Amino acid sequence: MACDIITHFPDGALLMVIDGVADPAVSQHVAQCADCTADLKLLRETTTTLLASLYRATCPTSLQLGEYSLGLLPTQESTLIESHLASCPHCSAELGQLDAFMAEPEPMPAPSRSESLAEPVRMFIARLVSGLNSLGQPAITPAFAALRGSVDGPVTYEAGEYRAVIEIDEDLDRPDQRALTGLLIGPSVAGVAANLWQHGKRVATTEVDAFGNFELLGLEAGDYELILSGSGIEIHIQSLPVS
Amino acid sequence: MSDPQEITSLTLAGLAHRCSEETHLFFRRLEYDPRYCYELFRRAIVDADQDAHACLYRQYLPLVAGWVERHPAFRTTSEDTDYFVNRAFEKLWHAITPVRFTRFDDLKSLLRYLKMCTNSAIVDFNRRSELALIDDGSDSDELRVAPAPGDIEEDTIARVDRSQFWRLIVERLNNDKERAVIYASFVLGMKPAELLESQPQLFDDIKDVYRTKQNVLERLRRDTQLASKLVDAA
Repeated sequence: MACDIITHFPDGALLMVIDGVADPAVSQHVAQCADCTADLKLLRETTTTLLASLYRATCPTSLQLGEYSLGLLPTQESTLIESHLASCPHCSAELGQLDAFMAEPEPMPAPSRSESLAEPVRMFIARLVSGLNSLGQPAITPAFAALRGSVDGPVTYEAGEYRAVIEIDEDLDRPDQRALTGLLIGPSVAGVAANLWQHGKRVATTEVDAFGNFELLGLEAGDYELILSGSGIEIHIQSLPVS
Repeated sequence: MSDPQEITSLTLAGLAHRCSEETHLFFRRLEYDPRYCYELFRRAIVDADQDAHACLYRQYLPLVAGWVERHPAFRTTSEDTDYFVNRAFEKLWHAITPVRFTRFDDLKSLLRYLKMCTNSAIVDFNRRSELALIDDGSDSDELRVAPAPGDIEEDTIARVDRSQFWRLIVERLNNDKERAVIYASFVLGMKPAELLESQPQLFDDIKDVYRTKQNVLERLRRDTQLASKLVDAA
C-alpha cells in the first residue's frame, strides 16, 4: 500500500468499504485515492476468490445429509455430521427442509366403496396344454382368427379354471406385421384386460369382449408375454413367440 | 400368489405388471403386496438387470415427478421436472450397490431412499446455483440461475478440491479468532456483523472482526504457495 493516509484509519477499513459499512471519511478518501482504489480492487478479488473456492467446503454432500436423516450412516460419520450441523446454518436449514419433505404424506385419493370391497387377485402361470385336439384339428378357434389366414396356432393354455386359445395371424392392414387373436374361456371373462409385454415393457393392451374374444394388432416378430388381468384373476402366459 | 419362491420365478414382464397393479392399489389406500416391486428393485440392483431398471423408472416416474413438483425448493429452480427425476434415479442407482441393498429389507425403505434422492437432486442444483452466483459476484438473493450441469463424478472432484484448499488455509490460521473469521466469512458466507452476533465472546466489537479478517487476508496474499492457488482459483 503506497497511500499513507489510509494508515490513519483502523485496520479493516478497506473491508468495511467493500461491505458498505465504512466511515464516510474513509469511503470518500478511497474513492479519490488511486492507491487505495487499487488496493480495494485486489482485496475484493481475493475475497471473491476465497468465497468461490471455500463456500461450503466442509459441508457434507446432500446425499450424506439425507442418509444421516434416514439413520443410514455409521455412528462415527453421524457424529461428524452432528457436530458440523451445530455450526452450519446452511446444512441445518437443508436438514429441516428434508425432514419436512420426508414427513409429507403421499397424495393418495380416498378409495371408492367398490374399490374397498375389491377381492384379492388370484394369479396363475398358464400351462401350455396343446396346439391341436386329438383329431389333429384346432379344438377351438378365436372368433377374430376366422377372418384371417392363420400363421401359428391355435394353441391352448390352461390356468386354473380358465383356458386361453391363442392364434397368430397376418395383420390384414400391415402384411409385414402380425395379429394376435385370442379367446378366453372361464367363469368371468368380460372386462378382462389383455396386456402384451416385451422386455419388461407393456407394448399393447386391449379388452376382452363379453364372449371372451380379444385381438392385438401390429405386432413385430419376437417373444412376448401375455398377461390377462381383471375380475380377480391374473393369468400369465410367460412365453408367446410371434413368428 | 403368496409363496416368495413363486415371486422370484415370475418373468420381468410379469413382475412389472404385478408391481404396477399393486402400486395402483397402494395409491388407493387398499391392501397391497409390496413384494413384487421389491423384487423388481432387487433384480435391477443386485442382478444389474437393465430392463428391470427401465421398468422401475417407468413405474415410479409419476411418483418421483410428484415429489419434485411438491418440493418447496423446486419453485426457485429454473429446471424442469424431468431433469430432477433423472438425477434422483441416478443417485439411487449410484448409492445403493448390491452389497448395500441388503440393508433395505422392504419396499418402504427403498422408496424413502428414492424420495431422499429426489430432495438431494434439488439441493445439489441449488448449491451449484449459489456457487455460480458467487463466481459471478452476484447477490445471493437473486433468482437461481441454471448452474453448469454437474454429474456425480464432477461434483465429487470439485468437492475434494475445495476440501483440500480449505485444509491449506486452516494450516495458516493462528488462533480461534482467525479460524472463526475465515470459516464464517468464506465457508459459511457470513457478514462480519452476523459473525459478531453468533460469537460475541470472541471479539471486542465489529471493528475487531474486520481487523482480524483484513490481517489474515494480507497474510494469505503474501503466502507464496497460496498465492499461486488463489490465482488458479480465480
